Amino acid sequence: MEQLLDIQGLSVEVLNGGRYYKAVEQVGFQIGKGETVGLVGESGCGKSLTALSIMGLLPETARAGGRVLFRGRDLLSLTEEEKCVFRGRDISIVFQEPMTALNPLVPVGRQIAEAFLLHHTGSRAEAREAAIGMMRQVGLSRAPSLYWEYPHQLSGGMKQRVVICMALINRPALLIADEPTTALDVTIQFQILELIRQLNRTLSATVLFISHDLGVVKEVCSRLLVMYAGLIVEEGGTEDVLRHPMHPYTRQLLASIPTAQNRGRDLYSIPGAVAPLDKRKPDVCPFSDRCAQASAVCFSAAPALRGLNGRRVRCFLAGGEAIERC
Amino acid sequence: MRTAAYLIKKLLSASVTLAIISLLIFGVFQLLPGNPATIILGVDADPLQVQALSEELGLDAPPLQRYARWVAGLFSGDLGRSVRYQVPVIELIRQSLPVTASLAALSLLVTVALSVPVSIYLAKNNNKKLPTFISALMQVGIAVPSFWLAILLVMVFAVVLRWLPSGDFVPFSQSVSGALRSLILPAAAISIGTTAVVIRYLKNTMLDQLSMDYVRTARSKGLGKNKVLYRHVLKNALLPAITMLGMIAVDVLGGSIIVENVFNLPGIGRLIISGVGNRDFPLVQGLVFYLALTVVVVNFVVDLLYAAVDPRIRLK
Amino acid sequence: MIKKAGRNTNFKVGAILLCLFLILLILSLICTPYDPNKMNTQAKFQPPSFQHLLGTDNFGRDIFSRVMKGAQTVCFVGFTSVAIGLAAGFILGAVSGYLGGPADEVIMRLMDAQMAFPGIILALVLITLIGPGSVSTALALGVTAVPRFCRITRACFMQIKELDYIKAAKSRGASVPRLIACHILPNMLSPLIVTATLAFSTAILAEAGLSYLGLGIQPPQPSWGKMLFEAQAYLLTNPWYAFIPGCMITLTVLGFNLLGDGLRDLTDTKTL
Repeated sequence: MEQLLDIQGLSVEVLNGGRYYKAVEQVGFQIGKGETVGLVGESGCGKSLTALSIMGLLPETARAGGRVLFRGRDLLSLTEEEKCVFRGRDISIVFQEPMTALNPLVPVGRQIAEAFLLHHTGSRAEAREAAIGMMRQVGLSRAPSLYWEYPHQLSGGMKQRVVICMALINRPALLIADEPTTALDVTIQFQILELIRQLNRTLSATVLFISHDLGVVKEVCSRLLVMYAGLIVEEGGTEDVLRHPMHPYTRQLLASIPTAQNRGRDLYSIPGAVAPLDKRKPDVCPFSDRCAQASAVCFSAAPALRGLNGRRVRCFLAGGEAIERC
Repeated sequence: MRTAAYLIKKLLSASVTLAIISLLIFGVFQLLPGNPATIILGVDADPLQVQALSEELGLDAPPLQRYARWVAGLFSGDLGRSVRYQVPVIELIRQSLPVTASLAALSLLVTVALSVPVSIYLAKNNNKKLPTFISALMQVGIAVPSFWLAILLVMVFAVVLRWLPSGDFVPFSQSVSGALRSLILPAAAISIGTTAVVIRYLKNTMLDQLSMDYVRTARSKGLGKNKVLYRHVLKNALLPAITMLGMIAVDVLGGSIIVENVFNLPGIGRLIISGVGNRDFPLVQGLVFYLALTVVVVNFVVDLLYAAVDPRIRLK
Repeated sequence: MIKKAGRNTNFKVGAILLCLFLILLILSLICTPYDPNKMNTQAKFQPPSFQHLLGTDNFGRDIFSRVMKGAQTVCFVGFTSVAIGLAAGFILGAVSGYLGGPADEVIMRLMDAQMAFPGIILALVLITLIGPGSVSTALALGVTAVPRFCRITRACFMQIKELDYIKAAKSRGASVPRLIACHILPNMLSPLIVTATLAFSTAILAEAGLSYLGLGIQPPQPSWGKMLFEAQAYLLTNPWYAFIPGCMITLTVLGFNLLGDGLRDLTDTKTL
């Protein structure tokens, strides 16, 4: 499969109280053309920072290292002007919060058309045609009149459709969806997921889907990446990972999804929380403090990400007898 | 429909405020001091003179009737006669209004023309050395009394450099450019303080807006930092600043009262100070009401402007 | 808190300026180099020297002594007007915020009406009625400060009376004055202090303006604004005289403003 995105040794450091802390470390993965890849992890695990560094939109208090190769070009080494050209044209992003993602003073259609005009030479009328066409495609009814409405007149689900519209109007090769459904009602969530799945098919867009919710990710993605404390801890095909999770963290994530089997019982929750940036220890397994299976070896060194049965996992105990159904 | 309701609501509240203001002014000038005629003429004035003035001011009628008469006068432009100048108050106002109005307009213009670009520059270059220095300078600008600034400006531009006149207002009827020349220094003295206030406010709003989600969305479309600022942030930052216009207008009016006296400009400010000094009740009373009226009207216009720009009010 | 204060530039600079002001004020209470009102026609317009630190004015009075005495005037007018504004504003705001309903409506309308006047106009009206002088200046400026305090008090009361622990204390049968003293006042302290600091600087500026116009402090009592007015006539020959009182006003106002802004940042309060 043709590689579209190839991330190698990506690290993100965040400035906090005069010091830089590593928030993302040694992240490396590939996304093939037309693939839908899920990036899963709790909040604070570095998944959004990973997305922002691909877009070149890290806040000024953060800096990225490593390489982000998009069609063979390193995005991190581009100048700001070059970044403005690929942003929105080759790679687009949909953010979590549709309520605040739109400029409240500009009609929504104009905001979509603006994205079109930034990367096309065309008249305003053409941009409007394109925007209205795209609005129809994402399932917004009465698109021509909606074009002139303001964000506060739209519901959350509609706004998210507008944001998706904006992201897709230039037919980007890669769409990053950063928690696109988290802020929405359950029914709307399902509709938006369905939309992304369908757009992935019809526009043959490659999607990097980021979420804290394994239950959502497994609906859309063919491959999964699990992140913990700034590191990738497990990678594999969705089916494989769900059936045989190798990392204890993945297992616990799975256990905390509500399913038909555990209905009526108390939902499992992982004890503790991700260690804050300044409390992370680089020389032990980052999950050791919350892991039920942790043994002496886990506290002695940091495990490396290693290949195992065509998958990758960052755990001393994975493989051999340690694999068990949770 | 909602727009109409909003307008009516604002119009109503402005009228109520005006009614209260008129009551307060009348109460303060006509009822509180006992007999205004005694105050105007002094305690040991000739009783006959007091009697005559009381009649001239119409003080023999019951208070309610006097109030009604005064309000009716406000509508018809009859504010009584100035005790000191012995001419109708409205005539005095008509003579001095152009000076103060053009001074205020010029100051307002300077304030807006200076503060918008400077605050854009400051917001763009937040945390750099020169902008931090300018921000600190703004704090000084807020603290400097306008009349001292006026004196300093006269010292530099009129006395040392001899570029601009230091007073001696040339009426508009004589020479428009001459009149404007004599208004430059006063306008500068007034607007430095207001500019500093607006810059501080606008810079902070812009920085707030720059951290909003919609800015990130706009950037992800491929808009450069500057374009985001001009196309998206500026509009959102100027919107709350519109509400400040009313406050600035009050500041400018207050500032012009003192600064007119520094430059000896024949405007409302000098008129009111002379009225206060001479205890010219009808004059001060009329001036105060018209000043308050101006402020209320400005605030009403600000509300309209706000509704015109913000779709959330316009439609909701 | 103290560590945070050390990092806040506004607070630091403001505190330093005000300390200087306080030193000047305290010294002036003990003694001044010369009698601030003693005229000496032999020594008119002396430039600054060791004898007269800031020189002498048009009557041969020592400017430094007059500046020191002027600090007392500033302090008197500032404190009195803030006290008046605070007391009246607090009572009105408390009634308005606590009772709500028609009382609130009436008080807020009155405050709106007062806000429609530039502060100086209101002061001028009051001075027309009661005549100029330091007491009437303080009173006039106090009245102009009322809406500020009223609004902030009202906002605090409205916000606080809805809090659960206040409702709980009320249902326990705590008396209203006790409730206010024990629960509401401590919460209001920081916004009130910030507002008072900023109102103080407004009062200094306004007093200087009124005295400059000849309607505030009356001679021979020294006032920085009045000194500026006197200096203006001799701008050509003795420009430094106009410089001194202007600097004093600016630095003192700056000190209070910076301190107020610093306190606002440090205590994270919102003012109106």
